[in-house]
Amino acid sequence: MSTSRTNGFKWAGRALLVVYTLFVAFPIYWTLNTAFKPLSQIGTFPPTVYPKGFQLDAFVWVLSNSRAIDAILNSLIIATGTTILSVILGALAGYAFSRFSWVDPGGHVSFWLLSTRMFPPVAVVLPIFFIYGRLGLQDTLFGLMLLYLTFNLPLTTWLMRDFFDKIPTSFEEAAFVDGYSRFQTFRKVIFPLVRPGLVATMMLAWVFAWNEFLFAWIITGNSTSTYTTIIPTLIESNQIQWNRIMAMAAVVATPPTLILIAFRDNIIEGMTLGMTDI
Amino acid sequence: MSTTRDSLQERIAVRIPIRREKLTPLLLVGPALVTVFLVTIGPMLWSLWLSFNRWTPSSIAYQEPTFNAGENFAWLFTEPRFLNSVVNFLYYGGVGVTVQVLLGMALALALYNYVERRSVRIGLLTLFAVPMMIAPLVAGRIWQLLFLPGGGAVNGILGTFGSSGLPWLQSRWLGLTALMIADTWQWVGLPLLIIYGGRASIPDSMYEAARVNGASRWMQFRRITLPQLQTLIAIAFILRFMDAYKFFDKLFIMTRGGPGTQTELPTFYTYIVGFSDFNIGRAAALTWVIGLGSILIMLLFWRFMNTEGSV
Amino acid sequence: MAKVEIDNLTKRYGSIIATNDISLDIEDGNLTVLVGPSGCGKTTTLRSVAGLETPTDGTISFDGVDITDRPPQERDISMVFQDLALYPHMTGRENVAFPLRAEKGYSEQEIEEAVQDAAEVTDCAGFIDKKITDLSGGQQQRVALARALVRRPEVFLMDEPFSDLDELLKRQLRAEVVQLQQEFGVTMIHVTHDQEEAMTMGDDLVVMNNGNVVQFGNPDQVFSRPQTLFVAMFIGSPQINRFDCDLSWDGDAAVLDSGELVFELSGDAAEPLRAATETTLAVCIRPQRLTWADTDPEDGFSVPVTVNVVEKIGTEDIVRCTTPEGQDVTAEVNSGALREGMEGYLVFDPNDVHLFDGVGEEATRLN
Repeated sequence: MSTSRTNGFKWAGRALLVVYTLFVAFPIYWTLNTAFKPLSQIGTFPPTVYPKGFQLDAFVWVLSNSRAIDAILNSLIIATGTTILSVILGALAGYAFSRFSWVDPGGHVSFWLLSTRMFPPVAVVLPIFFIYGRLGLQDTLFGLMLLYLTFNLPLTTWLMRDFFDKIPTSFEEAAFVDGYSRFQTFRKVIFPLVRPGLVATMMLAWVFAWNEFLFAWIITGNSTSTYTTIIPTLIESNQIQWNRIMAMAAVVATPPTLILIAFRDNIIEGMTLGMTDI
Repeated sequence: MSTTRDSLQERIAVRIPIRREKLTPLLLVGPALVTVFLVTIGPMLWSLWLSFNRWTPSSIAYQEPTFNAGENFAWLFTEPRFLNSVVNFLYYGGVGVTVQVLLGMALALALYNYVERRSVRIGLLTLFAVPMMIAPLVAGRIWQLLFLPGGGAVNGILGTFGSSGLPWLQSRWLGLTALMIADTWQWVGLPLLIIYGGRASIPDSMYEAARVNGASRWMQFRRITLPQLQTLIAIAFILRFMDAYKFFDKLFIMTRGGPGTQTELPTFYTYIVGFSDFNIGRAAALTWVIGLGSILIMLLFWRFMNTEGSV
Repeated sequence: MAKVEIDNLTKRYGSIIATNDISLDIEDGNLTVLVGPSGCGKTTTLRSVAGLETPTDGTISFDGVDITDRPPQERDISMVFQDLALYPHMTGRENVAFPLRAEKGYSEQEIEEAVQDAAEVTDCAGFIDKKITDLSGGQQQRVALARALVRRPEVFLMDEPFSDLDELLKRQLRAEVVQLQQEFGVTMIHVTHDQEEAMTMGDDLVVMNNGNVVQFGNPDQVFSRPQTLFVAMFIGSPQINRFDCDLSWDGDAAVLDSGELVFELSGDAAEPLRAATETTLAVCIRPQRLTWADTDPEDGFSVPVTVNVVEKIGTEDIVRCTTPEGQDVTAEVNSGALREGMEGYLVFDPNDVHLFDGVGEEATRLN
């Protein structure tokens, strides 16, 4: 075993990490760079590495333009609303799957629940477009909230079931023996223990809803729009408003990023499929 | 306390039969299942029926769905534009996902093995997870900006190496590659985290035993790391591959299938057929072929994994 | 204090029969141990008494009152679980107080007193205010016991709570539980797979196997008169010695022949063998009943052996020997009497022999 060879690997590995870090950071940096530039400076060759004519116009526009503000607020309402719905329904179902194994004979029910995620979103949006039309749900906040349950509900159920599985059944049985009903047991024993998992699930569901595009693009029209539906339309007299788009990108990317940083331990635990203690 | 005990023994009035516990779980699962049925499965079943119909609501002739048996399916298997998109998908899905998983694995192992300080590791993991938090559409716009032919940063960087830049989003294979690069930027974090978690859970004692027995680092990798990570690598692969089927947002905003229809992927083409051509029957057929194909591949992969790489 | 009657308790999971028509009477104020190997049905029986399992058939009564249909909330029981089920988000004190807060109308003061009482009796008052996660295994055990005792229930159930502890702690806690049970006179049902634990703790033993009660009796009875071959081999450490012998009759004398062990029983000793239905019987003898002889006593009640291993356990030695044909025989002798490699004979008194009708687990006792 030669140490020079090991060292070679080590420095190669570190080099790879450095290169990749730059790769990840660069677009983020470029976004901010562009957001602070006047439109004239964008798209020039060679491109300017820092905003020479530093200005806040793009950000001001994002935060003052009624269309933009409306869109962002709608996204906020829809994401929060659908998260609450999906987490409540998902937690209840997840608890049932965890504690009453007979509800899911042979794992079939959860398989079908999960398999809906294997279809492309357009598979759902196509029939929904017409169904919503007939029901009058198109172009409504509630309609979109409901529709987002398509991908969020299987996710929350799956995750919550996992989190409930981590609490031993003996905890509940001990409470039963002591005289507590199932509901009381849930309130006093299970809920405090599953709360971190609940939070992680909520965050994940919220971010997915916040970032969604296709469903919103198809279902919404003139009265409602989300920030994702605004982005392809930020064109003025055939010129793409890159600085405004990048400013908006920076603004809308902030909530999920803040969530990631605030809850990084939980989210990383969830994404490493529960095998942390990093 | 004895009075409580006596009353318990004598209380015959309110007796909750244990059998009632059959109702509770149904009440718990019911709302979720009903919702999924109403919002997802129900509509999809209707679309299944639609796939056997001809329905083009924008034309006078076919305002209502009209049964046409398997005609839509026969059509799509010979439609050159669809087949084109499948070829594109094989390139994009095959190469793209493989790159993501391999790169993710390399990064995960490098991070675990070569970065000593825990705070730096967590910091980097968090940074690597940031792209996953951004809306794919937004990420697509950002990369579109980077890939601009004239003032895009990518060509600018290539320019410092003397190249005159590439027509990234103006050609078929470069376009697909550009999409792959954008998607890799966004999603390598997923295989990375999964494999990192797996590596972190391999007990040190396995490696120590190997070192005591004189195994080289390469041997340790081949004989310990790889086998332990096998399942996770497969999971990462499946997850990313399934997502490749659904790839849409970036395609929509970066190339819109262009130039012309050259960089179309199956899901995007379905969108065109359904919401641009308004041929609902054909679009429905396409969604089902794509969806079932995806499930089939996953089952095949799972069966392959269970027979081949069993513990 | 309550007498527990289990009548025809059957529990089926699909095609698996966990408990098979079990009927048991557990006396008021007794410590009864359900003992048997994994899967024998002891835990299922305990959980049925607790109400955590619904019987497929049969009834359970406390003091004559049928409580089979009652959920666990409505049975006056306490239970200590195998993993203790202490809530990690609470302190020890909060855990112990928990049962009292299930809306039974106790005042804060009453609760405090009861908790303090229980803590003192189980010797955990010193650390009861710490978080559960800060306590050691033994400390957690005591808190779990305190929680179970705080309500002074009628029936006290224990589901193998000591399995994960080290030897010293096990013995300590076993003794303390027995003491507590006697002091409070609670009816206690204790489940374990450890036969030594069962023998040291129980007033009554219920030996179970394959979903059936195989023997019921006090430790003495179960040890000196095992009713089936299974019980003989399960109870007793070191394990009983077993010789599979062919039975034949030489006039009025019964001849038992295992190849190396050949002896005769006549008169009263041979009587029970007439009821034998099998031709090959299991002949068992406890290691404690074997003595060493350097030369062949030539009356048939002996077996030639070579000493393999001598295990020193204090005042006795456990001597593991083998016969010329390779059969293992274990004896317990005075310390220092034997050394490895010695050759000789292990001798027994025919009155100490246990005879079983057949060589299967269910083989019943003949004598």
